[in-house]
Amino acid sequence: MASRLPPQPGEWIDRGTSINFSFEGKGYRAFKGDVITSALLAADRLSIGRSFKYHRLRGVLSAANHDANLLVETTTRTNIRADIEHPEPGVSYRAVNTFGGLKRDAGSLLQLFSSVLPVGFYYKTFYRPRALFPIWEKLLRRFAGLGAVNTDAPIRRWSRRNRFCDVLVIGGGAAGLAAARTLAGRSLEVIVVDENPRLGGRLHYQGQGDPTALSVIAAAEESFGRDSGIEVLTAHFAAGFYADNSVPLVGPDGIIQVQAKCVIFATGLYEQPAVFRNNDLPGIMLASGVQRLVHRYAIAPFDSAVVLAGNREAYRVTLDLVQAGLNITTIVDMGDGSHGELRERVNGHGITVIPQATVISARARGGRLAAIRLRTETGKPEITCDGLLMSVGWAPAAGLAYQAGATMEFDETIGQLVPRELPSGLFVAGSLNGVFDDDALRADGEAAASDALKCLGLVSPDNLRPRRSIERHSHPYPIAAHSRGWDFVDFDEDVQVGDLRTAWREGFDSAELMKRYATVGMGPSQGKTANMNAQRILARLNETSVQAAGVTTSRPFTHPVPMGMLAGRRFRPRWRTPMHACHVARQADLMEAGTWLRPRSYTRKTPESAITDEYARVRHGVGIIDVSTLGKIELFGADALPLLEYAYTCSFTKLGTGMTRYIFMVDDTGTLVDDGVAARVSDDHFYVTATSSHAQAAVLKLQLYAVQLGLDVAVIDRTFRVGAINLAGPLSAQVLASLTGLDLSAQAFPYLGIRFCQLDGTPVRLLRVGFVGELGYEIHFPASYGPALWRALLNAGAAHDIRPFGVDAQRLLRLEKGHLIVGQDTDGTTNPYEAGLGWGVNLSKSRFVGRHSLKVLKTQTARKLVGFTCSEPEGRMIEECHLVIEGGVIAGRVTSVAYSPYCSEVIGLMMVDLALTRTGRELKVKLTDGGLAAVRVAKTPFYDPDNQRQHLHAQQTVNTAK
Amino acid sequence: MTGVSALEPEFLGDSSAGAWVFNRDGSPMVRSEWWYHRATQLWFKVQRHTGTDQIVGVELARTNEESG
Amino acid sequence: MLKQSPIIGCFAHDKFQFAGVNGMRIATLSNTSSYLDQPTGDYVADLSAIPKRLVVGVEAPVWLAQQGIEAPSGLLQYHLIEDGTTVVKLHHQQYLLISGISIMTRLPLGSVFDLDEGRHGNVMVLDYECAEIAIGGPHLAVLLAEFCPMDFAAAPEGVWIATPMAHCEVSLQLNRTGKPACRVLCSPAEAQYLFEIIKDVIDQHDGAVLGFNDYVTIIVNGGVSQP
Repeated sequence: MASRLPPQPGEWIDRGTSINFSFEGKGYRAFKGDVITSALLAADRLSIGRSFKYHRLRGVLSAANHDANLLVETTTRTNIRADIEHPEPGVSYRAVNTFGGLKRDAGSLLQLFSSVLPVGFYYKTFYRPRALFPIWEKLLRRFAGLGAVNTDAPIRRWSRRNRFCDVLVIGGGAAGLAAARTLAGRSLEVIVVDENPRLGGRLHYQGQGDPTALSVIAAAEESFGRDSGIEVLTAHFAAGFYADNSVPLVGPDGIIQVQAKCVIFATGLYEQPAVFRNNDLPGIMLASGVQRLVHRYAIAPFDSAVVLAGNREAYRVTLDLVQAGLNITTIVDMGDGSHGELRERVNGHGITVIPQATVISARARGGRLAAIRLRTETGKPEITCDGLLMSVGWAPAAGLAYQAGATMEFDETIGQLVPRELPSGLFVAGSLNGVFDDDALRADGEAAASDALKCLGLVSPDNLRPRRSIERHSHPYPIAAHSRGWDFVDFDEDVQVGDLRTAWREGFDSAELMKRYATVGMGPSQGKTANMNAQRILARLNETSVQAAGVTTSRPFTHPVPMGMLAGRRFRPRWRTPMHACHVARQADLMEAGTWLRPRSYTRKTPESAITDEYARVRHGVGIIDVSTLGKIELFGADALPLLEYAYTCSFTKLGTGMTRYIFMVDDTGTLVDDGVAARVSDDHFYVTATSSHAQAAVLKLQLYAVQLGLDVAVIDRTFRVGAINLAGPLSAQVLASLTGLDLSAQAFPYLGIRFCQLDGTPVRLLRVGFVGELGYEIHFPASYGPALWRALLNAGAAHDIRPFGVDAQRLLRLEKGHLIVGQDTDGTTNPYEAGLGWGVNLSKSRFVGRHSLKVLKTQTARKLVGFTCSEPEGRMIEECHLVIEGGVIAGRVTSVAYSPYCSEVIGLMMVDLALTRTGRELKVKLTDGGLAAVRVAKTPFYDPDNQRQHLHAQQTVNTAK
Repeated sequence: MTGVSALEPEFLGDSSAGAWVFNRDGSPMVRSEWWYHRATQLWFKVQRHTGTDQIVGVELARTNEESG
Repeated sequence: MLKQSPIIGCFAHDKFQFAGVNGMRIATLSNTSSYLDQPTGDYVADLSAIPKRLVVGVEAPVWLAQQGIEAPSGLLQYHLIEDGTTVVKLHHQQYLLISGISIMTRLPLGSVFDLDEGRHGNVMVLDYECAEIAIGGPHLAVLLAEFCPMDFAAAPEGVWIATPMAHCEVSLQLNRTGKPACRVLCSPAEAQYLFEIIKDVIDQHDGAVLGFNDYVTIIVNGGVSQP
């Protein structure tokens, strides 16, 4: 039975303060400093979790979350690591992954079906029998996963801070602390990070209560601080290693993103379990796990225990625990048991040593360990015990080092992987480096710090690296496979030795293949206590060395990181136009258009009638639309024109001063990427617009061409700094006339002209454009004038019943004119010839972007963008991207479609094979429900084919009043 | 941002245009790339080893005005 | 009033007073903040009314010299001239002028800041529309670390800093001497989003939101040297 010990030197708990919490419906009391695991053990609660696949009862293994046996959840958080988490007062915890609670988990019945659930079984359900897969899928989804997500949990914004330092020391154990001490007082910024709540690592719990070890830790805790330049971050773990020495440190309050000039990996080792039948029973623990429980939390997790020894450390641990008052009856030594003085002291405590023996199975009673069976030289005796401590070996905590580009090699002497080479600026120290005894650990830390100082260009003495250990610390094969199974290699995924053999037999015989087929190392602990044994088994199956068997690629994160922490403050930029507040005040229906917020419409009625109202206003009266999202670029300089000629496909020689023309841009494959308008203000000054979605790209391309060609021109991005409003409709000139003294007559301000003037005091540029097919003016102005100008236009147009219109109405208006939208009516493969824009490509220009491709594409046009109409009722169900079907094959697709009030039928644009583009040709469009709608190819524009509406007519009086 | 087009060379015959646009040698070596710094809207010429991701050289791209 | 600050919507009508500064309507005074009584904490303020101009063209340095303004020679270098105006070489052939706060309400005749947008001689003078946000206080470094991935300790003197901030592209001027403070320039489109984030972080440190005139008073009291 597990219980609390009397106070231990250097313990982490504060017995003066209690915290009450509940687990699985029962109340427990913890001391301050306890973790959930230790508080439960103090009350003799040994089984705390259920495993992923077979729902077997699980207890403490490492007591440090190097395994994922003990994950718990509350109503608001899930996948909480019980070994690490301090229980919060009044909170109810329960185990994850149970069906009906921990005690009566219905999922444990799966153990009965284990023979039909071998490794890889769920891949096979994907294939045969196909009819059963839907049932399998539902079952698999139900059983997969661990914690449950509460979608109503309150949203929390986590801090995610940036931090820069000279040296990051990962690991606050003997070597890490020694390294930090060497770096102190040098005017450097040093961060020491440790995943535990306190510094010390193994120095603390393996110190055998050694006062010098404890004083080293106390000295570090006291002296490190602002003055020495050393910042200590405990309860933070380094989650991964990224480019430029970027390491996110995950802590209870969020993530600190550190970028360091040098990094020292002093991350230590993970103790490894032995493999035998039922090695996952509560009560079977890693020796270091027990030491953590004893020295950190003063917990004795058993009444009487046996130690399984695969190395000499086992004897030291035994003596340490006996000194703390625990009862160890036997050491089962996998070797010959000759450990000199240590052996004598152990015997002196009355502990039996059984040499050349190993544990082959364990037996439970009441859900916890009751006895173990050995295989010795003479037989297979059973020993009664409620605790088994495994001290069989170590694997390096090298995940971060691997991610940083370190290479490792297997050192046969120590029996462990050790670092061979690291990229510059990165160093290892301590047991990770194959160094074991206390003096050597310290010296290795100091040497690593010296190397770091030299790397930073500082003077430092040549500290010699101590030699690596010459003793074997890891047993070469602590695996006793059992014919009846339950001999677990990976506790997270319930992978047994037989599973690995099956995977190997089925051909998955390399480390990476075996990992994915058997899922070994794929659980929340990412193989910290599984990968080493799996590698040993694979080596034996392949009859090669452990080195040759290989490791799988190490990837972030070291421990599970909550998604909310990665999201941090949830930065999600939203760009607002200068008139945004005006739209909000009118209760516009705002939509996200890329990063912009734009009004879809201004009416709250059903969408179609809202659009039709706004549409009608523009066709018969006057309306305004906020088009500030357009790209706007100013070009100024002697080479402004050559830049334009190079960047765009058309010729600019005929563009007169004070005039604009339609332009478009292709990339070097000849694909349409952007369109807009170019205005010649003077011979060395041009003003260019671009589509909203390509605006930033247009700017950077023009700037690139300017430097590539060495041109004398300034390219100024005005997209966000200049707002734009399109005033459109037959009455637009009258509205404008009341705000400006500019001569708006057709002679003075022709179609496609650009003029500079003031509107009600605001300095503006006016461009006469025709996107929506009515008389219209695009007004450009400095952003801060926007709201005042918007209000002035609405006031000036009030007599004409002016209304604002949104994006949806604008799209309908332009569709009736057959105007294409780049990105909607074109895609990543459309070239100008297919889109009917061949007239805008001037191949006689000697050089422009995409010229060579366009020359080839001109002769290869196989499809065309055409208009279509549909008078059938099914036409209302046609949507964008519906396919055109001809002769049973796909012959094209619909790119834009809408009901046209003017035509009283559905109209649209489609990209179809050239052979089908004769006007009047009937085609079929496949609808979402599989039915076919009959459409007819039509000429565009659908509305005002002679383009009369864009012109100023006599009856639209233009007076120069005001 | 890398991978933006380099200036098109003069082609001998049409077939080489397609090859230049679509077939590029990707073997790892030190390559010259165009990089754009969004905050300043400035272009840089960067030499980077595409195998090790190490930056070997950086140079601000200049216009005609500053080439002197 | 024809112009208004891009972030005027971030200042509640009942908590601030508004007025025109250099023709731009902006929040001028906080009704609720006690910051000025005890100017020791963190603050954020709207400085968008400070006039700014972009002078463009290959002849810009010559033209500026004729106006009595020395242009910086290298890209992204900047300096202050005697009246407090900041001159930055922002891009190829582009120079940004930011008016000094002390002179902005009494600009001399023929000042660059008075010129209409357009061609003047052989250069172009353009409005430089942006939002300007001042942030300052003892926790400035911690505040900036929350949304800006830049190592400010490594930024050399006299160099115009341009960096992402909460996924927006901004420029900023750090106050190198005196109390920790900085001024951030961002585009009008992103301004409201960015200001809300800064305000959020400032709130967590119990900081204050100040109007334009409040800010001017702080620097007049010598808390922050300009810029």
